[in-house]
Amino acid sequence: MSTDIKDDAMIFVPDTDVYEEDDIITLVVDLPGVDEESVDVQLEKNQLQISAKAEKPQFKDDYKIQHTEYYTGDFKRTWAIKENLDPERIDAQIKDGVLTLKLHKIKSAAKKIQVRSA
Amino acid sequence: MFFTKDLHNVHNLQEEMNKIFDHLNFRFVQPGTRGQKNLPVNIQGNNEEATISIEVPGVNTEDIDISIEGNIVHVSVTRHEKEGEKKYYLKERRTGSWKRSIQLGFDVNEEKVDASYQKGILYIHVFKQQQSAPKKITVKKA
Repeated sequence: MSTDIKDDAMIFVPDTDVYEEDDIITLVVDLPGVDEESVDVQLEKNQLQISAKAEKPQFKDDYKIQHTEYYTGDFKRTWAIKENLDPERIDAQIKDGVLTLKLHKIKSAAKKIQVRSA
Repeated sequence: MFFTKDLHNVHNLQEEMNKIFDHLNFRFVQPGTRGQKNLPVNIQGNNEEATISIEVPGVNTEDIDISIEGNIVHVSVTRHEKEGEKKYYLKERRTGSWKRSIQLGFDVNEEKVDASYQKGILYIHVFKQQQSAPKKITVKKA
């Protein structure tokens, strides 16, 4: 069977760096060609999903493809994260095709147990 | 936090899933295999002009060098580590300096090159060097 894959049917897993500090996890994600509006970040329980859509650049009508080393399509990647993250505190910034996500951990305050005298 | 021990098995699984998805015209592409090389190049154009697109997210425009030599466009780019020396779990994004020399089907007009960097993609728009029209020589009567 032929595997004739359409260009727009491709889903790419973006290259990502993951850093961790005391209370912040930082994800740096390469999303070349992606518009700010098309980036979708969802945190559900401990599953973080990043998806984005890269628009194909428009060239002149009589342009022909002469050489191809990369394809344009959608990006998607899901992460399972062990720490509890604050869904209200996710900073996302995209610049020059790189998404930087800062995720804040929820610090569970140590519960103080009071000892009562009998 | 992240489990890399079984990554090999995951890759195999993804290959198996791709075999299934191939029947549905749909495919997952592994990180790092998006472009085969650093600075992957696409070229689109006609007989008179061309746009070279190079995927290189997260670089400063000062770190991009472009030069023209006849029908060859030389591009060199440096991508720096921006997060510093923080503790990391995973590093897939490559940093360093890369060079590509792209040969075109025509000599490039050096005066008309236009380069822009948008959303992590470098676009170099080049035009064909117009040959000077043949000079007409009139033969004088003796």
